[in-house]
Amino acid sequence: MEHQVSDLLINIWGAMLTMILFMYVALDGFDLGVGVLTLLEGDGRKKSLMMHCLSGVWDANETWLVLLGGTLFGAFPLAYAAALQSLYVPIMLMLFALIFRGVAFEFCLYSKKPALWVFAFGVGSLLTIIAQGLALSGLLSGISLIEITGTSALFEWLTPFSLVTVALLITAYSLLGATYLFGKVDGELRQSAAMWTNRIIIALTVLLAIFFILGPINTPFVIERWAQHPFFFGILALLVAIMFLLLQWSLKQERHFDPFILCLVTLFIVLVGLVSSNYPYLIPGVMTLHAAASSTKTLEFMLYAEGGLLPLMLIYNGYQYYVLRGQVTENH
Amino acid sequence: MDLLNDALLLSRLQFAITSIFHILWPLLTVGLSVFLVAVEFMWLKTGDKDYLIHARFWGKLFLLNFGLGVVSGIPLEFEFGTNWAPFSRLTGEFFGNILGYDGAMALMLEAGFLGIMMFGWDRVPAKMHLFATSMVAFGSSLSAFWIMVANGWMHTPSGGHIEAGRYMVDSYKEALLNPNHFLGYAHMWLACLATSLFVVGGISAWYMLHNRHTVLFRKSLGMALAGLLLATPLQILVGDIAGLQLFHTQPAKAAAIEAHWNTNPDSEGAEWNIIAWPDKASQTNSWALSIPHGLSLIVNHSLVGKVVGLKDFVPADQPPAIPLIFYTFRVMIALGFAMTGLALVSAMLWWRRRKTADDSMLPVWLLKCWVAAIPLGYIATECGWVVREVGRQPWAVYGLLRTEHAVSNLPAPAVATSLALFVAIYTLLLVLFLLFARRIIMEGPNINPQLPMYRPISNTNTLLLNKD
Repeated sequence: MEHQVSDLLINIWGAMLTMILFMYVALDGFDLGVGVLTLLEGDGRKKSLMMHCLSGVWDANETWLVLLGGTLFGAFPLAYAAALQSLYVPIMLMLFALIFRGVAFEFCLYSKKPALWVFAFGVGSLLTIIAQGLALSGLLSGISLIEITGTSALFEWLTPFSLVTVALLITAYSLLGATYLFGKVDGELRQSAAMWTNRIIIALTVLLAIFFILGPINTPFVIERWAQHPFFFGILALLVAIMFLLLQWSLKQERHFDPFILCLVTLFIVLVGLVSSNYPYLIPGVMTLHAAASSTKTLEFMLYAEGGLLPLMLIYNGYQYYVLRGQVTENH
Repeated sequence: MDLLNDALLLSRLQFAITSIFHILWPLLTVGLSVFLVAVEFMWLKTGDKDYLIHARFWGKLFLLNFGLGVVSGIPLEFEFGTNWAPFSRLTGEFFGNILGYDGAMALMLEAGFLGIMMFGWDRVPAKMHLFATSMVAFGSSLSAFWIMVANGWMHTPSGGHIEAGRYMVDSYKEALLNPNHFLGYAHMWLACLATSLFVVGGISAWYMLHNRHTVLFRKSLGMALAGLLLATPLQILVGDIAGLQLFHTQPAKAAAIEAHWNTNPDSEGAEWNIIAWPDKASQTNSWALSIPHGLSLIVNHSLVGKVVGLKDFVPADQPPAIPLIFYTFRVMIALGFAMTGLALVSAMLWWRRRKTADDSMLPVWLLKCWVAAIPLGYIATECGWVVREVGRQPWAVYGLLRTEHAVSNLPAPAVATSLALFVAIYTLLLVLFLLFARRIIMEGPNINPQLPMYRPISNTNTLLLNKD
């Protein structure tokens, strides 16, 4: 019976991890995306307006990454150790880029020459997404996560699939950023946001298709899973397509945050698809949730506090967004 | 270059450097947030606009500092996995769990209310704003609590056993309340508070020396002084108890701190080295200036009390870099007493002048001392951490896991590269932080702040109609 309890707990923690990942990608995703979009915007004033949309919330958004790391470390320590060590290069790149963009954001508020820092913020955001894309493709491509012994092994995660994943993440985060801006700003910038959204949807549709075709090359069990449950995965794909159509339609409506919310729903569906394709693997093809998990006792103890607090975290994070709601306009 | 081929040493240096830089910012976050709660509470209680000016002014510095704390801290959490994978595998069940708690309970809380605290003055009622500020302060103190649980456990691991290569917890009560934890946390929290209050006091003194807003900054200097009168003597007491505890929990570290090599024979006292040059190669002090019986008196309160010496441990079990441990400890102690002295002298002079019309309350030379004292808390805290962490060596988890067995098997050039980048980026970060902090200070407070939409008037929150 002990074993069953632990299986239930492992699944609960798998779900919690997915939830935290969703929160991170949804929230830091949009502010990383806004960062990338500042590189596309030429007008200095509009750039600083875009930055302004993020002040007061980016710290909290990035904290979801810290929570993700801590949760993985505590609940699935073996996966935490194996993945981070094997992905030394992309993880370090991500850490440097995160520092870079975080300080660029802070310094932008105080600088007399913000243009330089806005640019640094954009580049830092782009590098962060690239690093995350590289790490994600490394995890998904089913490479064996052995101890790195030689310098050559440092780059074992790098495959053509990496480029697809990087491009996918850049467009996905940019979409989140553009739709968030669409809700948050007014005037010309809002029209730019609508234009960006329309263009990104097309790129993203293509990239998503390539991603899900190339993805399972090294992980045949994923294809088997799809073959076993064609309806489930077919419906997910259909839902994503419907969401994209709705998204284009909603841009024409006056409800500001509808596009962003539709993006979040899409993200959730894609995440469900990804997780259910690879379950019970935590690192596809290499390590299952079960093999990576802490003991039942630890998982239970963690669940009391972290599990209990997750709803509370959602509430006060939501409250912060509620308090800081409203349009950001140029004369602010 | 041997250094560049030694992945263990490089990983240790990388962790040391990232944490030495990172701690600079949380030190101020934890302490300054408590100060901000105090000024905001005073603003609500008295309605005196000066306190609002203080809240907004120090808040600017706080926001800059907070952001740097967040970004400089993220690498630390991931380095356990990248550079210390065997450590993570062994300790994840407990250590990782605690880091998860830190994120869920503490970091999320402070970040979740930071936006309201900084940008919500016109958006939430005054009491709600005070609540947000309090949550930021509570969150950052709670974060320090969990970090000290995790770190304390590395010094005095208790409440569990190793099974199949993993540390399994038997009793959470024992593991959480490990012997090192409470004193470690109290010591660190007081260090945060004292360091921050010296920053507040020093900057206030600087304005007073330049005759800028003297009356305004007299208030913040006074508040800092009042806090320090409590915090600094208490810190000496806590530090003393924590130091004495080491002789029981980590005797090799304690002996290294005091450069004490030979356990004293039964009828003789152990001498206390005021200064010395410990030489690990020859297992003795090259020279020493010492007080006979001193160490026995300090540790056991008896002239001939037994104090275990370093030679009771084989050299492989002794900490490395004993002179570093010995001298950083002494610098910390000296600075601790200097800061306590400054607080006591200032309080005395302030009291004497309380009835004079002098605006500045303190003489110029003393105000200059306050300005000079701004970095002291930082230096003392860094020294304390060097003693604590270098003194724990050669263990990653004291008595359970040696540092050399805790390190990831990574190619040295990869770690050398990341180390070089960390040094470059963190140095740049610190320089820029100081430049921007200087700019905030030079600019000074906005002494005519727009009153918040909601503000305290005779203990009720009145909504002012803001027509502009």
